[in-house]
Amino acid sequence: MYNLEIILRQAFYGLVLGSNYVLIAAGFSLVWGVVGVMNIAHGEFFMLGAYAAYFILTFLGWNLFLTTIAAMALIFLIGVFFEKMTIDPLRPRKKLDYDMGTLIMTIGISIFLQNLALIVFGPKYKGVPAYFDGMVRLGPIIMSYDRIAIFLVALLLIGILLFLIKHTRIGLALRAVSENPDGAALAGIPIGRVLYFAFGLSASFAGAAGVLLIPIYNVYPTVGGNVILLAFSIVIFGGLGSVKGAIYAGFLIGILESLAVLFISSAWKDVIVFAIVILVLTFRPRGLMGTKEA
Amino acid sequence: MGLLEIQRINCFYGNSQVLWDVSLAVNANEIVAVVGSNGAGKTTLLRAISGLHKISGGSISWKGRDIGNTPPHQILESGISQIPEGAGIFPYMTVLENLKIGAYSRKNWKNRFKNLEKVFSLFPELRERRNQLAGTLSGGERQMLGIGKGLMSSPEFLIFDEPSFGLSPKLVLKLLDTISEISKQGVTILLVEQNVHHAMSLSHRVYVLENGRMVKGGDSRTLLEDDYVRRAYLGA
Repeated sequence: MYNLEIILRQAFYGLVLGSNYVLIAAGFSLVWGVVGVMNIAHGEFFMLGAYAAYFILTFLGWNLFLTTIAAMALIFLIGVFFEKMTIDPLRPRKKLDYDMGTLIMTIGISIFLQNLALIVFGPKYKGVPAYFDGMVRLGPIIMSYDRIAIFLVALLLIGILLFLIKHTRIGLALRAVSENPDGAALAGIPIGRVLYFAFGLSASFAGAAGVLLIPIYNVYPTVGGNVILLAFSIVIFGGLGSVKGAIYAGFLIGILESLAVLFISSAWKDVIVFAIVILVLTFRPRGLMGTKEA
Repeated sequence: MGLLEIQRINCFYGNSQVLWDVSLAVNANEIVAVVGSNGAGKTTLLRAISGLHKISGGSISWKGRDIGNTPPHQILESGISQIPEGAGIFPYMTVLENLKIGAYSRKNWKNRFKNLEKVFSLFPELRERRNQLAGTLSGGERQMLGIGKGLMSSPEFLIFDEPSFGLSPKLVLKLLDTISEISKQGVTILLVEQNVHHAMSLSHRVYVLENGRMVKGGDSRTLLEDDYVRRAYLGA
């Protein structure tokens, strides 16, 4: 019943999904590590990215790359705006007060954006046709150009993010602030600006995943709810605050989910994924790459 | 007029006051030490200078310009660099990355390779370990890295918070040599020390901070003979 072709094909779908999960979770993890905020509104940036793609594709008809860049720029600015307006004013507070305050604040942002989307865009599911038509045979498997293009763009973005964090001046600042904010301030790093940037960057990567996944999933005002759940499990699985961990865990969960759909049923895929996450955390509470216990 | 002038500053943690009308002055090319027991407010004083802690009342001026309550990165850009307790290094980053962070501000970033060479010639051990994670360094090497990071911004004024903390006696002597070496290169130095012997032997002038108040200040040699200081801090 299961031949190799179908399994490989499903595994590749898993990779495509996983690459987008990585975009979502890496940003979520980055904000947790650098800004110290559990951003419950992260899924809403995905939702806004997907709507941005819908409108750009429907009314302007741009190609995948331009759409991704434009949506990311827009969501980046929206992310910076929310950091400056809602998170930044809470910064002078004490640790516990800041943690609780920002958590409640991001829940508020999430509810606000979902309802704003409901009023502005309406409750209907919106979808777009595939970015590219046609299929190609790669060895034993047949893949659509669309999935391949989505996968390549996601990989490119992951590469850019890793390069940015590892090899640029701003990446140095992001890591420094996440390890030791006072030490970073004493070294001359303007903390406030680094936090805006981290938040904007994180939002823009969630937005990019929205752009890339809209041909597969459609967009509606509460789509972010599923996304945040996913981001949560991936980031806890991979290790809180570790972007590298988010990358491994994102791909792993994407593939697991796709294979679960094939071997069991799509209704059971979340059960399978969460069961495996719970199992891993039972034996390794810090997650795959985490340095601290979650 | 001192290079750095602190006049009657007050600092609070929440509702409790930790610094009361504290004044201090440091002249160009001096080494000034602040001594005092645990919880006297020494670290808070240094954090206030670097902009990490708000001051309520009083003033801090640097080269005649008021710098009270200025953000830390602007303080650093004005030429004041602080090496916090525990050296303020980033354990999950390499030695080289740690040093580069010290040169983060735009002006210093351009000179980072030149300053890197200077730091490596002062601490050859750091060159050997440049690709190692800072967290794997020994206590003495960490302190070197902290100082190196502080020097990456070519500061005119270097502040040390408990530099000898946790170091073996042999390493402490080496550290004191390094600090006076840096001083000879024209960098003005303010340091906080719990080890009063070391502080007094290294510095030109000493201040004594007790329960958030400056109780004494003066020439290090004179204070070494002071009855009160001898009894309270030198165990005589």
